[in-house]
Amino acid sequence: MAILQALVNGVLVGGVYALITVGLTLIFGVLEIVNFAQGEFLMVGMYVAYFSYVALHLDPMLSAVLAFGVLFGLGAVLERWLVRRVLHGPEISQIFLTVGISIALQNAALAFFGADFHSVHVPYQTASLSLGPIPISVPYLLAFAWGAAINLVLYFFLVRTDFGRAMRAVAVNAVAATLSGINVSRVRMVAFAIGAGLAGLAGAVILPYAYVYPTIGLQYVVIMFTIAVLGGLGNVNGAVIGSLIVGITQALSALFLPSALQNLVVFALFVAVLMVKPSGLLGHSHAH
Amino acid sequence: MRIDALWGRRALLAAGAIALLCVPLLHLSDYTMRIATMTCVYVVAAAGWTLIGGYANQITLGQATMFGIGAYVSTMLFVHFHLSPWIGGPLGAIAAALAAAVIGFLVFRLWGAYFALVTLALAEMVRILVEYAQPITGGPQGISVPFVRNSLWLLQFPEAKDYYEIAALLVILALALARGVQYSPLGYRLRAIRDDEVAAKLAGINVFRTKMIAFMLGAVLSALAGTLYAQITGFVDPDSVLSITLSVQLALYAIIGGAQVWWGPLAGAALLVPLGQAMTGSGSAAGAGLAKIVYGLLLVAIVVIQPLGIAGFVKDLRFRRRKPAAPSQAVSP
Repeated sequence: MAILQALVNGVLVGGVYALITVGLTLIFGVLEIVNFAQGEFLMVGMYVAYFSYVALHLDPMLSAVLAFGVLFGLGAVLERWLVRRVLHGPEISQIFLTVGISIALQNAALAFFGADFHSVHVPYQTASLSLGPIPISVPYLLAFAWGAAINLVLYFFLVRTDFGRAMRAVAVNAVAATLSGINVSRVRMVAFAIGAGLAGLAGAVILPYAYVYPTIGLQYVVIMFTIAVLGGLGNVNGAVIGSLIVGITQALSALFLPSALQNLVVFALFVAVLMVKPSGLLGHSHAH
Repeated sequence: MRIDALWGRRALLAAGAIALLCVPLLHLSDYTMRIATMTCVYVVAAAGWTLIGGYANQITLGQATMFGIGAYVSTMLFVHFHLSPWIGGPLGAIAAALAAAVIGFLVFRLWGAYFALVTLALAEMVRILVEYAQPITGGPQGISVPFVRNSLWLLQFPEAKDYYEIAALLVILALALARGVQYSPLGYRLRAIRDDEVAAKLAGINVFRTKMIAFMLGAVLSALAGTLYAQITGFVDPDSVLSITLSVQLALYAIIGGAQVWWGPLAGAALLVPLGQAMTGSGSAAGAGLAKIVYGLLLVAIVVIQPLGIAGFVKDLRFRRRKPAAPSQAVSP
């Protein structure tokens, strides 16, 4: 029974992770850069939801849409003015540009909002449903539902729409995409903006069960990278599978390990997978 | 002529080293000397990053692990076995070199972003283990270095400024090592790996061994800086010595100064540490935040405009000064 409960929790948490990670994966897939500021985009999304709640009494499940919009805009601007300039630059610029953005965002939050922890109060905060004998926390369930919905929408966007197809074309081969008349710069900008927007949306959605503070991004960022790499960086479906693996691994390891060591198992799994297959579980064998 | 230039350069370096050691003669305020001392610590730690991250372009985001091992090993040996940091520090450096060997063995096969991400994950694993081993390490709350007495043998002094000479000596040693490596055969091999790893391998360079030597040497430098940090602050906790934030900060000093030259960490840390300390000195969260916003924006500006950092700007200047000579030569045969 404990194992069943752990599995259910693992799937719920995994669904939320999928929401958090899918933007990172999309950005890597299309622009081939690892966005180290993704955790900070999540943090900004949490603050957007928090202030919407304080000022307008907006439920985070609704202000998630607003958070998506704000981060979409921020992402578009950052891509247009900064990220674009390093796409063909040296590796050190590609890595440390987004590291620099993350430092600036984190500390802007610290300077303007202070180091205090903030949270929201929503009626369903402590509510739980029971699935037979297994209790399911409502905030997690709602976040999971958002995660599932977003991943479905994204899937149809990438598979069925012209713009989505263009995005996949750029991901596979940017030169060939240019030759087929795709505006590669615009596709990259939109991909970065959507990736950032999804992190913002995720931030809003987890706010009912998480505190927001300037360095909250660091709590999620390594988990995010782990999932994205497990699924194969750039592989959106892989990110969903990676999320479920990590969610379930965390929940199961909590049964026989102290909670402080939960992430140790996840990171060990991460390192082990890369030792065996340096491009991730579902990654293509990327040529150097 | 060339020999004169060589000796001239050596004399300049020696003069710089002596000037560094003579800073206390200026009778600066205690506060300024504290900042100078902390700057020295970070120069040494960032030089450790430069050896692998800058010289070989193996961009590790886990250099804090080495700093933390140095800080924790010497502190735990002192707390549990009353061993002097003069012994604990080198033992910490050996431990860091061994950790580097294990980490290097795991990550040197990976390239680019994967390398950076795995070093980040391994650093987090070390942090989790240290936080978990509370009875020995003090856990998340950290561990204090108990002040016994004012003693050179115990490497304990009442004020941060009293550590200055030792910190400056360590800077000179670290930069001498970094400079030595840069112009040695090892340095040329590292540069070959940085430019093109496959070509380096084809040219007969043992890529794995070359990276490993640089990584272990860098680990020793960062670990020694960690020990000194622990002695100066008298307190070690995972947040300050094993965090992602510190790893990023060490890389940031080196990159802003210039990751590919031995004096990059010196230029970067000498610019940024005082800036950070001065702005955090006000004690408010806003001040601390503002200082680091500047760090972030500077990093963004540098990698977009001049990825070679301050060293890159200096190179451009020199090039520009020489440039006008070229056309005139061409015109007057």
